[in-house]
Amino acid sequence: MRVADSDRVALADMLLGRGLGLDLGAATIRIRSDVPDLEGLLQTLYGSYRVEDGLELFDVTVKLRRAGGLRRLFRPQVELLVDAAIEFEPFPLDTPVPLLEWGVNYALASRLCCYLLLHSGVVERHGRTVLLPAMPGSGKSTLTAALALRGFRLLSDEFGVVRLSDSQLLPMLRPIALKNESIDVIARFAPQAVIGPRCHKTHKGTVAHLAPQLAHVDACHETAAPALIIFPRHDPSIALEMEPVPRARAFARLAVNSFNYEILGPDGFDALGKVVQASTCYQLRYRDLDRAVEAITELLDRAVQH
Amino acid sequence: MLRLVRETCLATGQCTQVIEAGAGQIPRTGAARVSARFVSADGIRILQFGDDAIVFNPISWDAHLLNAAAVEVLVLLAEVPRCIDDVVAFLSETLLAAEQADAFEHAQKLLHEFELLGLVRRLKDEPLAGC
Repeated sequence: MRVADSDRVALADMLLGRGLGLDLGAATIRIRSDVPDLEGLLQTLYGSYRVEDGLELFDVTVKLRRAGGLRRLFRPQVELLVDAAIEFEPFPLDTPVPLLEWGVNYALASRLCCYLLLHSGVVERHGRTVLLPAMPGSGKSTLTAALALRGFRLLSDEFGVVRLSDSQLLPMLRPIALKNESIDVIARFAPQAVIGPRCHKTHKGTVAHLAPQLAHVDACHETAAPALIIFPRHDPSIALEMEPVPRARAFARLAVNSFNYEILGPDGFDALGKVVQASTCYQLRYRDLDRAVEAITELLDRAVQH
Repeated sequence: MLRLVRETCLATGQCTQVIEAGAGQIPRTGAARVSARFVSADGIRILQFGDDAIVFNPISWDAHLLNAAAVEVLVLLAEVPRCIDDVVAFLSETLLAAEQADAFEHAQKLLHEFELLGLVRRLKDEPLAGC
């Protein structure tokens, strides 16, 4: 049964009890919560996911709970426990989703050492991936979302999950965190997109999450081969500029941007080397989202033909 | 933080990393120069990407971005132990005519930097005919 089709009361009970299990592709997570109405938010953002009630073990278990103490009387807060440990400052009770999403990111990044984890958006078309590695604020999530809404399959907005044995990319499918102006940009770009509530005054400004599509969720175990690496940067002064990046430089930038390259040592080096060798690499500066999507589509088609 | 990229820019004669002269450098003349031989460290991995390469040091787990000439020297040192004159001769073939007078300095800096990075090791001093 999908999360969206679940009875809301039963879902709330599940969150209070054994937890809601979700399969993200490369990892499984379990969410527990006593936060009021979280089940409704999860039905919006994770509605296409199946309720994984047959699993006993999960890669990550997180729990959102109302914070105790006197503060709860005048400024109620929610705190996040990752495998029973509090790792973050609490958030206001009415904005649990950013805390949940960032907490899950943190947990996945710090625990999944069986894969090379690049900090990158990843989309796929014709079995070949486009990696979009970038620093925060570069427009990575906006571009990843736009590609996912224009016929590319979303693998992840945050993690380029590289399998060490063959350097194939695995999905780590989660809602895409859109920030500030990007929320309206994507809402205009694809009016059919399912975007969750806006959470204001987070440390990244206003945040809202784009729900993954059903077809992408159902393909969360389909791997894809690396083909294109695009380092994106949103730049209002440039309509579109695509410059080749030497592979050795791309390797360096990806390694620096990785969550666990250093920990993996030679395995990480070999896996990243294969990804880069199989890819052509570009630096993209763009203002217009439609033109950027068009240019990336064209480049990927050329790479696939080649 | 990742200790990833240190560049050796042989073609221009510039090193982005300042190498201090003094202890550890190879004397231009004398007995010590005759006996200094170098060999690539065991187990280094080289990923060639056109003109550049990424070299992985299996001991430190650091990766280094090297240009083509620097990698060629590393490969040369992997074949058999070489002395600095071998490296100078090799570099003389790749350097422009105007730069050839500086071949020894280039070789000296490069070998010293490789040593610092753990990419080559200096063999125990021993007399070597021809160097």
